[in-house]
This record gives sequence, C-alpha cells and structure tokens, in this order.
Amino acid sequence: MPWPKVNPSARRSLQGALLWATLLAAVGPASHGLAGPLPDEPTLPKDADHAMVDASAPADPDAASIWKAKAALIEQDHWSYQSMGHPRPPKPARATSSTADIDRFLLHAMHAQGVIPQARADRRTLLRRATLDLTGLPPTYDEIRAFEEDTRPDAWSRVIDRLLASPAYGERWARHWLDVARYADSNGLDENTAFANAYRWRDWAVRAFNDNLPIDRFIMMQIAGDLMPEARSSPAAADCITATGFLVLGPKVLAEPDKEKLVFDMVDEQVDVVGRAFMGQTLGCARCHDHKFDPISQDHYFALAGILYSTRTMASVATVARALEREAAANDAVAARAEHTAATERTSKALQGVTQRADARVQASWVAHAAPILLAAAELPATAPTREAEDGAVLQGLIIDRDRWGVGIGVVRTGAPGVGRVAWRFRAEIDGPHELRVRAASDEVRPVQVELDGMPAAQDALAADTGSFHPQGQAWQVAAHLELTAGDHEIALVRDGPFPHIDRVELVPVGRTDRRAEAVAARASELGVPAALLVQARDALDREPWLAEWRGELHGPVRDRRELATDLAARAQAASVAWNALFSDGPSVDPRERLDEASLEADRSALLGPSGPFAVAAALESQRHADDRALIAGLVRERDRLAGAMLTPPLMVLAVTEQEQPGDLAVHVRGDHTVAPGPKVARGAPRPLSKGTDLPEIPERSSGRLELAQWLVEDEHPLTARVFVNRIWHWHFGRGIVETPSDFGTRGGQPSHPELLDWLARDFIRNGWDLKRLHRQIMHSDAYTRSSESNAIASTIDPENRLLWRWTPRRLEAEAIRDSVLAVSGSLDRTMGGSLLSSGNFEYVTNDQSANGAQYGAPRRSLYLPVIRNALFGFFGIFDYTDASVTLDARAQTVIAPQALFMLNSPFVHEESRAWAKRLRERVLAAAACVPPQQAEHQGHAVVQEAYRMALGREPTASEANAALSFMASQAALGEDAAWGLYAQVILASSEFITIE
Amino acid sequence: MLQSCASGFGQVALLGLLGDELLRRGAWADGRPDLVDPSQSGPLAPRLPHAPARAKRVIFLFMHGGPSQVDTFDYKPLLQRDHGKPFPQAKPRVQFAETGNLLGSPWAFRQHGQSGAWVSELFPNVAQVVDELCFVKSLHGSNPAHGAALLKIHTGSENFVRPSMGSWITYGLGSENQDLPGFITISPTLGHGGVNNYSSAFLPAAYHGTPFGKTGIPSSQAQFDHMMAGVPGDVQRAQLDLLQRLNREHMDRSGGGASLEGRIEAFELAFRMQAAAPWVTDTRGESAATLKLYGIDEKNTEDFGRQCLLARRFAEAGVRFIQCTHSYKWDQHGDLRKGHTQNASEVDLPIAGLIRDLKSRGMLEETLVVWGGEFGRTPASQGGEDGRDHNPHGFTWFMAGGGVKPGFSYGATDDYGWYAERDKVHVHDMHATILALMGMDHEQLTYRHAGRDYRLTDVHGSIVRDIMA
Repeated sequence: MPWPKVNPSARRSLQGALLWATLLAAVGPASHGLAGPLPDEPTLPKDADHAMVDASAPADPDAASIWKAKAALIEQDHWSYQSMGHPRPPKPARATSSTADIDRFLLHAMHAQGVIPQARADRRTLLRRATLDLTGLPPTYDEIRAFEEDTRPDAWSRVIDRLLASPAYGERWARHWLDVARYADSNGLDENTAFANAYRWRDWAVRAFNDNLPIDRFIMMQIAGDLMPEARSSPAAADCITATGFLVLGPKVLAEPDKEKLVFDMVDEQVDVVGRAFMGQTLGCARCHDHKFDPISQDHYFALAGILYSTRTMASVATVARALEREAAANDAVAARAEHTAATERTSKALQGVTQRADARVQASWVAHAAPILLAAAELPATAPTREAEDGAVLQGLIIDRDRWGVGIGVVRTGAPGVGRVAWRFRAEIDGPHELRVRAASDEVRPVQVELDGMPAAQDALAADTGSFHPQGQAWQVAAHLELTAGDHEIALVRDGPFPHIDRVELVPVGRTDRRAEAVAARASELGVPAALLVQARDALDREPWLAEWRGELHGPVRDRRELATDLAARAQAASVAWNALFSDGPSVDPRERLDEASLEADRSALLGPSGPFAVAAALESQRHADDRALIAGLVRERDRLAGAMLTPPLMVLAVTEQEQPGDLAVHVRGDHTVAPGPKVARGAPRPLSKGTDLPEIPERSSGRLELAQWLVEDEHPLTARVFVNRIWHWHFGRGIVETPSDFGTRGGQPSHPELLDWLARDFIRNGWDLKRLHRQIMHSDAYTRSSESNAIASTIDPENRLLWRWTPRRLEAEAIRDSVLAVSGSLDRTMGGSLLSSGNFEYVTNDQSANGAQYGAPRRSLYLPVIRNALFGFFGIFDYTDASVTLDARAQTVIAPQALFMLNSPFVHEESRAWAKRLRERVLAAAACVPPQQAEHQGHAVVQEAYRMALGREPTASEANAALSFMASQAALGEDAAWGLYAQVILASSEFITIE
Repeated sequence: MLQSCASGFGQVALLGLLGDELLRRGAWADGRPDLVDPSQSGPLAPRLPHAPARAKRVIFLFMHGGPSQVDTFDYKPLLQRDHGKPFPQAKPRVQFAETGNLLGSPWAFRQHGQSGAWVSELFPNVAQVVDELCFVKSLHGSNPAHGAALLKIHTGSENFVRPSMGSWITYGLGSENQDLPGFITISPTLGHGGVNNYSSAFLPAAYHGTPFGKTGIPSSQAQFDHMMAGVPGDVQRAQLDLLQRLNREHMDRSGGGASLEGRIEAFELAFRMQAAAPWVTDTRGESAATLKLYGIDEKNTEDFGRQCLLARRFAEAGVRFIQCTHSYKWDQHGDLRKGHTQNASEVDLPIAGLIRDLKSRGMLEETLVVWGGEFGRTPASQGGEDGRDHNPHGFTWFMAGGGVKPGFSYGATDDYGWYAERDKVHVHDMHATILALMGMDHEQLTYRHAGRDYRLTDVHGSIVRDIMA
C-alpha cells in the first residue's frame, strides 16, 4: 500500500527552501551525518565554555521558517508519522501450503521479485531454534526425540505452548526488554554507586512476560504506573510503582557540581529513552536545536521534557547524588505503615513517661530517708572489685590497646617479643582463700604464670583457647587459688612469649558471701527498705566517681558523717522534688529526660538515674505503686501487640513520584540551562508524532505522565504498536521489518514490508496487545519454520534475505552462550529472581583503585548476574552485550579474537568443560551398567555420541566420531579425565553449539 | 565484499563482518575507497589517513587526579608575589568546592634547555628534555568533577557513553600489528568512568581498549585477560585442529556465512596473539641501562617506569594507541607539598626515560607522546595553606615527538594561572589536533549510529595548527 504523498503544489512552492529535504531523499541515509553542517544551516560561533551541547540553534527568523517548512513536509511524507493503514493480507497468487496471514504478505513480496522460499526445516532444527529463541537454553535430547516422534497434527503448537509456559521464556524475553530499558545494577558514569534494588524492576519485567501482561499496560506502567487507578490498592500497587523504575535506571552524573545541569541532563536522558524505547524517535537531538532530520522542534522537546521535569526522580542531588526509592505499595498501605510506626512511637513514649512518673513516686519515698540509706550503704562491705585490666596495670613487654578490638574495649596484649608481665595491686579485705578470676581472649593456647608478691603462685593459668581474640572470644577463667592475708598484695601474670588478651580481673574471697548477705538483709530491715536497694546503693557508691569520693570522705578522720549524709540527702531531695514537679503539671506523659537546671540534672542523673543509688532497677520494680504497675503492664502489652503486628519490612524500589510543583519548562537556547530561557512551552507530546491522537489535557497539579502514557497506547497512535511489534519481530528473526528498531525517524531504516508491519500492529492492538498470541502468530508462519539452507537464485536476488526466503542463522547472545554451557555441563542453577549484588545500596561498586564489588561466579542464569556499568562482566563485554548505559535496540554480532581466547583459556570454560566431561562419562557408565561390558573404544564412542546429543541434539557423523576418537588417542598421555575435558571444551567452543539455525 | 577480497590474509572474514560494516556505516564509504588498503583488510588492518600523518601512534601518559599547572610547568610570578591575597578576578560560577586566597607555589621554578622552558623543581628529569617538549598551557575543559572530566578528555563527552579517543584512532587507522590489539591501556582505573574511558561504545568491539593490568595491582603483575593457555601449546594446537575441522564442516553444511568463516579466523588469530603477547610484554631481555633509564631499578619509580617501558615495547610492536595511567594520586585538596612531591618523584624519571629512549631509537618523530591530567588545580588554596581544588578552566599538558614543535610553548593562562586566556585550547580542540597529527580530519572521521553520524569532537573542535612542526 503506497504511503500518502505530499501535495505536489505544496512541494513546488517550498522547493527553493527544500534543498535539504531533497538531498536527503536523493542520497539516502548512508551519506552525510550530523557531522558536517548542512548548506542552509547557520553556523554559530562556537563557545567551548558552554560546550555541553551541540551549538547550532536556528538564530534568525528565516532559518526558523525554513525549518518549519521542511518539518511540515517530512511530517506529511515520512511513513512512520502517518496513521497505520488497514491492509489486508494479499491473496495468494497460487495455492500454497500456507494460509498464515504473515506468509501471504511475505510471499506476495517474494513472488514479485521471483524468489522461491526454502522448505520447512527438519524437526530437530525447529525444536532447537524455538527452544533457544524462546528460552535461551538448548533443548534436551529427550525433548527433541519426543517432538520428532510426535505425529499429532498440532505437535508444533504444543511445542510453542510448552515453551511459552516455561518460566525460562520470561527470563529470556525480559532480558531483551532490559536492553531497551538500559537496565543496570549500578549508576556508571562518574560515580559508580549501586542500585541495589534495581533487581526488583528486573524481576517485575520477568513476571510481566511470563504472565503475559498486556503490552499496553506494560508500557503505561513503566511511565506512569504510580498514577494508574490500580496503584491505589494492593497488591497491584507494588508492580505499578516498581515498573516506574524504568525512568530511574539511567546513568546520571552524580558528582555534577552544577545541580541544575544534573537535573536537565537527567531529564534529557529520560526524554531520550522514552522517545527511542516506545516511539522509535531520537528526541534527544532537539534539546539543543530543532531536530535536523525529523520534524521535532525544540518546543516539542521542552513540552515532553516539562512532563519529566515535573516528575521527581532523585532523592537528593547533593554530591554524591542519589536516585529516588519508594515503598512498592499502595498509598493506603504506605499510610498504614506510617500509622503503625506512629502508634509504636506513641506507645513507647507513653510507656517511658508513665514509667518515669511511677519511678519518681517510688524514688520520692526513698529519698525522704536518703541520709540513713546512703550511710548504711556506704558501710556495707565492698563487693569484690572487678577491674578493667588496664586500670592500675604495671606493664612490661605488653601494651594497652583500647580501640583495636572494639572502641573503648581496652585490653592488655603483647607489645614486644620476649617476656611479658602485667601486675596489679589488690586489697584483700579479709584473711582466707581467694580466687583470682581473669576475663581473657586467645585463639591459641597461651598459658601464663601467676605471681603473688613476686613469688610464683600458679602455673599454666589462662590456658584455654577461647576461639578468638575478638571481644566475643573473651571468657572468665579462674587463674589461681590464692591464700591471702588481709591487706595489699601485688598479683602478676607473666609469660615468655605472646600473651592472651586480658580484659578484666577480680579477686574474690571464697566462702564468705553469705555473711555479707545476712548483714545487708539486717540493715535493710532496720531501715524498712528492700535489701536490693541497699546493695544497689552500695554498688553505685563504688561506681560513680563523685559518690565514691563522698564515700571516701565519710571514712576520713575528721569529717562529720551526719553532716555529710544530710548534705547529700538534701541534694537528692532537691533533685527528686524538681523531678516530681515536672510530672505534676498536667496529664502529659511525655518523658522528661532532663531537668532544665544543670546542677540539679547532674545530681538527678547521679543519684536517681539508671546507675544511681536510687534507680528503680528490675529488682526494685515491685516497689512501684499498684496502679502504676497496672498502667505500665497495659502499655507493655500494647507495645508487644504492635510489635507482633509489625508488617514485613518495606519493599523499596527505584521509582518516581510527582513533583510538588509541576510546571512547564522554557526553551533553552542550545539546551543550555545557563542561557537566559525563552518562552515557556505547555507540557505535552511532540505533535508530529500524534497523528490521529491527542494527548489528554494535563491537569495543572499533575506532571502529565499519566496522560503521556495513555496517549502512547491509544489505538490510533502511529508509532507505539508499530515499534513494539517490530521489536518482537527483530528478536525472533534477528532483524526487524524496520532494521532500526529504535529509530523510525527519517534517518532510520525503511520497512521492508510496510503493509505487514501495519497489519501486525493493528492486529496486535485489536487483540488486546497480547504478546504470547503474537509469538504464536509469528512462530506458526512458514517464515519462522524455513530451513536456513541457501539457494543460488534467491541469494543472488536477495543476498541479505530481507524477503525472508530462508531462516538467517545467527550467533547466540552472550547470556545464551553462558547459559547453554552451564545447562549442558549440569551446573546451571535455575533459581529465579533476587539479587547477586554484594554491594550495599548506593555504595560504590567500583572505585579508582579498581576494586570491584561484583562477583560473577554464581552458576545462575546470566540474566541474574550483576550488570555493573563501567565494569561489565568481562565475558559479557567480549560477546557484544549491551553497554547498559543507553537504550539498545539490536545487539552487535561481532567475531573477535578475545571471544576465541575466552573459549580457549578462561577458567569458566575450563571448569565447565571438565564438569561436563565428567557428567558425560557418568551417564555413559550408568547406561553401560545395564548391558554387557564394552570395549574401551565402544565406550569412547558412546561418550562422543552422548556429547553430540546433549550439546547439539543430534548423532555425530561417522567423520565427527572418528575425529573425536583420534583426538582422544593423540592425547592419551594426559589421562582420560583431562583428555575428555579438552574434548568437551572443543564441542562447547564449536560454532554449531552457539548458532541458532 | 567478502568474496571480492577473499585472498591471502587471514583477517578476510573479519572484514566480511566489520570491514563491510565500516564501509556501510562509516565515512570511508564516501568516495574515498583509497582509504582502505585492499592487500590487508580487517578491522585492524592498517588504513591510510585522510592526509599525510605526522605521527603513527600515540602514547598517552595520563596523570589521574589533576596535577597542578602552577606547581609544575605554568610559572606565575604574580602568584608568588600575591601569595595570601584574594584572587582579584571573579571565581568560576560553578566550583567544585570553596577556595580561599592565592597560594604561591611551594616549589622553585627555573628555566631549562635551549628553549628556556620554565619547570619547577618537581620535575628535574623532565627539565632535561624540555627541548623535545611542546607545552600547551591554555587547555581547558568543561567539568570540575573527576568522573565527568575523565570521560571528557577520554571520550569528548561527559554525560554520554561515547567511544574513547584511542578507539576512534584505531577505527580510523587500524593497527600495524595484527597479532595484538590496536589500542592498549596499561593499568587503567575502574573509577571515574572506568571502562567507559577506554570503551569503543558503539564502534565495533575490535576498537575497544584492551586493558593490560589495572590500577591497584603493580604493573609488574599486569597481564592480558585469558592469554595464558593453561595447557601445553601442542595440546592446544591439537584441540584447535579438531575444533577448526568441526567448524569448517559445520560451515560447509550450513551454507557458509561470513560470521562462521570469521570465527575460524578468530581462533587462529587468538592462537597467534598468545604467542605474540608474552614476547612483547616480557621485559627481561631489556638491558640494565634501559631499566635504569626508566627508573625500573628503583622502588619509587619502578611501577610507572615499567608502564612507560611497556608502552615503548607496544609502540615498537605497532600498537596504535597506548595509554599509561599514573593512578588516582594527583588529587591534592590537602597535603599538596607531600603529595605532589611524591607523585612527581614517581613519574619524572620514567617520563624523561621514555622520551630519551624513543629518541635514541629513532621512534620519537613518529610517536606522539601526550602528558596530562583530567584538569589542573586552582591557584587559590583549599583547606588551609597546603591544598588546591579542581580547576578545569586552565591547565597544562605537554606533547612530544609526532609532528609537534619541539621546545615550544603555546597559549597562556591569566597572571595567576586560573583561566586559560591566550590561544585557548579546549579539550575538543586537543582531540581535533591529535587526530590531525595522525593525519585524520576530525570532521571526516565519523560513524553512523542510531540515526546520525558521530565524531570524537561532536560538533566542536578546532585544530591548533601553531603547535605543528
């Protein structure tokens, strides 16, 4: 069907100005590019200071009107800007075996050029083709045999259905889309920080393909999922929000000091990817000047850019900038979580307040008798003083190491070779037996000698290997039993050689604890307070430095004990009264953690605080008032209930949201944000791309993303369905009906079968954008099932096979090569989804010292390996993987020496070859166990046969088998294991293994 | 295409894939068939440039981090005089960080050689070869952050992934050794753009820079990936014979195809590379005098000295573009005295050694040596009295050999060394000039991708003819 032609009179009237357009038509796309300024383009002086962008904006009104005239012509003339036609499949010229609509279009074109198509390929070839194409993995030999033997008329349909239902289908086809979406797990560009949650977008894409999500929704969700009605409720909301990660995945200049430029560049990247991915348009060109080849003006660019400028993509633009993440959940679920968090906070605040008030009441009753309580506590015998090893230690050959094993931990450890010695002075309160107890860590046996007052007192102390030098390795050990007289002693540990790490020491009298406990109970009962309070007060007096000082004064020769106690009691009283006053000014249960007055607060925290003598520790909680206890118990129950109702942690995903203040953008000359802006352009879509459709009006408070998404999937949109259908065609056949799947502009390729493209697009829309249906439609065509054999006549007329008279063989992509190797060798781990990235979110994945946090050893499908921009997995780079920084429509198919070096020398291929060889021989031996013992040569032949079946799905030819066996004979000196490994490697490196035929 | 050239040389099938691609997409197609030498074809086959070349190859000595121009080669008496005073002009609109008052250079400058070039005491050995050097003291770029600036000087673009300068040059000229990559980068960094600094982006993969080692491991331990065979040569040859037989049978069965033929050739090439690469990278045969010349006998200069020596060996072997990277050390926001002293002491002797060695071997005139960082540093201090911030507005590179004027200095910064002022040379201009020295017109060296023709210099670049000999 011919494309609408421009009105001839219009053409004539424009002719003078249209040198450019006619040049284009005459010379075609292989000539001049952007590089050479075109004759009628004004050349602006170059200012390299502002060289971020192309410099040649139309400056004078003449240029602008000429551009408009040219654009109008192209808009009328270029095929992809015209509405899709309604072509009908041509009637077959003569009866053929096929009635498939696709073939009627294709045969019509072949017939016109006198080309006769090839016959159908054999079943083995077809099954291998379909399986590699739909799943990226080779078929098993059993699957091939089953298909070869399946005589049912719908055997081929069954194969296609089986493959489309396999989860491997989504893994393979989502990966195609990942190229378009420039998917990566790191930012790349200047600062390569991790997108540790990007994989959730990838996993969504795999699910979308496997679940046959209608493609119109697939497209809409990636642009505006968060704004679609489904996003209002769970669980659909999670996918809707996750899908918008598409807009966030791009690389950004994260350390860009000019923040406006950072944002403009980011919007530009989004415009570029939206344009190419969905519409096949290179809109990015129009940032700086009206598009040189397509009818896209700078106004059109800024209309679309305004939509993305009104969309929030970054959490922060401060150096180093960070992309936005959102919880993948409906707004009500996000609100529910926020409410839950708030309730938890409220409850714990209330609990804290009520507890403080209750404790203040208890403490007030104790403080009323503070003087006698403190005096009594001060007179109780001291507990065995545990002390930090470093306190008062006298060292020789050892050092105090405070922070290396944990900040402030402080251990005594080896400082120099030779004899190490550490000594402390201890006071024994009473005569009798004592235990010297030491907390120490050592990950080997390092026995020490104990000295008492300079004399050996014990050998082989602290001999335990505690498993580690780290603090978690520290353990209490009894170092020695010592018979002491009351008074001061020097106790030392000595070792010739490296020392255990000593953390704490204490000297404990043996068998005297009961007497002390009795004394405490008696004093407590005299005072009418719990014994636990006295013990706690005594410990506090030992611990808190100024209380210990007070205690020292108490025992001094001249001080008046009563006066001292009264003084301290008065301070406690004042702090307690002020503290109580805080809680008496209303119903508030807010926790009061500090008093306003500094000295009162200091006294309060020393005397009433959690480590003070009057703290309400766990052992004293029973002293709280019954009402308070009930209240506290209620709040504790509420807190526990909330903790039990805690939802799973939020699922964070890269996603966009609306800017608080959406707005239109002004045109910037040369796209340079530092140049004074021109007039504002209303947010919208490029008009030339919207023939027959209109972007719905954008509400003032919206970015316009939802409207953009709705417009893209309108039935009459001239580009979206054509572009998508063409991509699918490209991925099936290795070449699209349009050879440039992301460029449908005037510089892109012309459709080889324009009517077929329109028919497919219309049919696709009519059938609900059903992708699996489209796969079936294509795979049921004769075009898909033809033999790849060449034909002298056809290859002379159509050497590039644009007419699809045969199947064009092609090499597998990087992922499919690796996955096929792993599948055959038996190493493949088929676990789906999840992340293999070891870097934390937004941490650097690679740095200037070439550290690389990504690991590629996991035998998972390649789809799941980290995609690290700036430092791609080497294997991927060698085999024409996408560079993952820009949207890619077609993988290259290069043949370069590094690929051969990889197949010859990489540890990966070596290991998998050996693994596969072992598997092959085991399978042959298992089979041989059922039949009489075979000769070595027969066994060798069986291994070769098994290798061909597993890797290539066929029997070896006699010549192939002979070549294999003579190779094995020539390498016999290496031993069978090694030789079979080398042979297996040859098969994995063979062209046939990595070709889709 | 394939059929018409299918004679003789083993790369022919590669041409079928890539040469053909070049012809279809590239500038070579447009009425310049003379550019392709039909006797040798393939992506790396040597090709004639647009114009007579002054240099055959490039050695780029990259100083990662940003060496200070005012402490090395751009002597500013007024900066010394006005030390501690405010910078009298406006500072740039966008700065990487806040800077303070002017900071005079802690190093003394002296004039050297016949040309009287000013060199600070940081580079005593380079000072002895200044009569071979051509200084460009008015270079300027666009971005004050490391990543963007690295990408800019390597690829011409700071915010898109574009082919590296070395890829463009190899694409344009091919290589003189078919058994080695045409573009080799020694000890490159994975930071600040990483691989994108030496990637071929949308150019065919044959023009991708091949890393030899990487920053963070000593250059003495550097090697090419997958070059070690792991099995004896005769065993691998037997494997290869079997493989090639199977591949040939498969090709015949499936009706040929350029890529299948290319694959067979690629395996042979790989096998030859395995033989060539160890020989080129093995420096054990170099004399003690040569090792000393590069400072390989001294711990401090050993690492960069070995990089420079390897660069010479690759150059001798016919590699087109070679880069050495002195790792990310030059970023002295603080500790300027200590840092720059140490850095310069590691590279000074090796650089002078390389220039002398190239000269004595008669290679200097056809080898373009380029020295420089991603930007310079501010004349104003940062963080007290011993640091300088990034400065893309004016900095110094020097070149030697390959058709540049020896003992020459071009362009100038202002009196304090902040902004390029006289005869300004943008990074794009430098790229255009390097291509011109290699005989290529930066406006003609294009590649068709995604609907338009791309260039190293985008829509910019003016050739600095005044520095050409």
